[in-house]
Amino acid sequence: MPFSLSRILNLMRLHWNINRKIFTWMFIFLSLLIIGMLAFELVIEPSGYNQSRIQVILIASTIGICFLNIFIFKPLLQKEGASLLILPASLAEKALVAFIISYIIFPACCIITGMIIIKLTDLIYINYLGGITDTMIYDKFQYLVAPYLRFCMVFTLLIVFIRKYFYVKLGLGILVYMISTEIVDNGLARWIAGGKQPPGDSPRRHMDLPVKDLFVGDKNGLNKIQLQYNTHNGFHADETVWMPLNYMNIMIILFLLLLIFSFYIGYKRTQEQELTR
Amino acid sequence: MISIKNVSYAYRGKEKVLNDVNLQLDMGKVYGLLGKNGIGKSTLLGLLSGLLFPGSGEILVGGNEPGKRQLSFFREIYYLPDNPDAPSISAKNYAKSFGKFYPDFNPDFFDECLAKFEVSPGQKLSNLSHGQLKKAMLAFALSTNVPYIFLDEPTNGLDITSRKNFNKLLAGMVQPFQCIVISSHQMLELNNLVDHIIILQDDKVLVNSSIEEIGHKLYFNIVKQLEGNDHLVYSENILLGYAIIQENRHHLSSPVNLEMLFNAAMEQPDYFASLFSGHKNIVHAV
Repeated sequence: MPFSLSRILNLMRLHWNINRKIFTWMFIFLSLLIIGMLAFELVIEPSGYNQSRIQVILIASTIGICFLNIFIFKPLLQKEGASLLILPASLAEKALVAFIISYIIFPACCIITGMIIIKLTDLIYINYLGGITDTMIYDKFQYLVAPYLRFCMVFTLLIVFIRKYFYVKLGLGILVYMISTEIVDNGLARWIAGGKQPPGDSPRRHMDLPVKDLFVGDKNGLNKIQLQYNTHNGFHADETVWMPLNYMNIMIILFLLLLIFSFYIGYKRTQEQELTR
Repeated sequence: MISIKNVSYAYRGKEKVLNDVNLQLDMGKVYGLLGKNGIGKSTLLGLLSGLLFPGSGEILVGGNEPGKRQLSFFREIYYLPDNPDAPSISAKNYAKSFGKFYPDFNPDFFDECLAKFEVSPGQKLSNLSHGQLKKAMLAFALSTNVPYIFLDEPTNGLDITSRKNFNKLLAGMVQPFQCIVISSHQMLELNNLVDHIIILQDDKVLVNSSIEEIGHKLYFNIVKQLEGNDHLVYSENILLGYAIIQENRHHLSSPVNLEMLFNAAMEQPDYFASLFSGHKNIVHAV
């Protein structure tokens, strides 16, 4: 059997046992990064911090996650001398576990940690320091999730596609990160707003609709969420058309495909790395 | 059974380490892999473990091709490198975590081995000295009960008592379904432990013979004078006179001295190659 749940669970336990020191230090580093950025934010904006600055903070944290992950993913597959490389688990299981830890568990923990810290900061700031904040926890979550998706893109490029030349990788990584920021944040926001720049309020607040609503819209190619944002009056049922190839849907599908593809390439690359190390 | 056919291997951008190597290793035996530093002993073990790919030729370990790195293959082997990694967990936790992957792992035997090696099961591997770590990893290797165990310089860094214990434990545990390959450049440690010798030299297998066959063909002796000793193959000055190797034409019995055998093979590779390939062409040395 190429996949066995008990082996996968044991592998995860094994990684936790072996790498917990790395994990712990990374969480500490990330927490300090977020706390430091928030503290800096409070110093420069004592009357209340705004979304754009919060975004900068959280994106910076996510960049931290991206690069920390590079240091996690590789050891998960290659470290430990020969013991892990010849461990009786299939390569698919090893790659899957490395993928789950570095792409899902670790970033999720980082995001949750970040959110808790920010929420606590909010509480302290509002209740004890008398400050006000125009940000909502939902926005913060969005700011963390979107960069996380971007991180997958950058990570794939850094680790999977380019084998050598660290500085080239780094430069390309930053470039892709910047471009994807433009696409995911500004582009997505514009798409949600039906091609227009959203006025003032964050469009992300209007995304808390069921996923199925992404696939229906009007004859002009705007989906339900976009229409709702545009009209602020909700969506009229008689305008519904099936529109799975809406621009935003394509983006979401592309992200999912990228995730799957990066896992596949990562798997192949891992095999190669194992054999030619 | 391990079958190596016409295997060659070269590290990227370097000359061949192994060239057209042919070997067959049977079950129920302990093989000693001897050779100078950098001659390709670890490379051969890496190839057998699926950590390296042969440039050409075919390797089969129990019917599995190591390069394919299949689960069924990994379940049957354990490779202990010369410098094993030391994760920051205790020996006991290490066995708990890694032992689960080996269906026949014996935790009681692991504890027994640790006790014999005097390694504390609760101490973190990363805090152990090289020798202590090696002992803990050896204990694990011996407890896996896998059919193929490859040990790279296993006793390197071990004190005398531990070496003795290792020899005892290994000698007591080898089963007919197992094949153990020990690479070493410290020949004395392998005396009385291995029952087959493979000597590598210049990317080739120079000697591939059982201890029994070596004893049958060569006679190891200590003499005061060299004169009067017929069919002399090799001699060394020692305190009492000379340690010599003669052709065993009178079918005498003598314990094989691996260090002398190795030195003699290094000095007269052609003679040894022909002697153990079955095409004896005696070149009288000394």
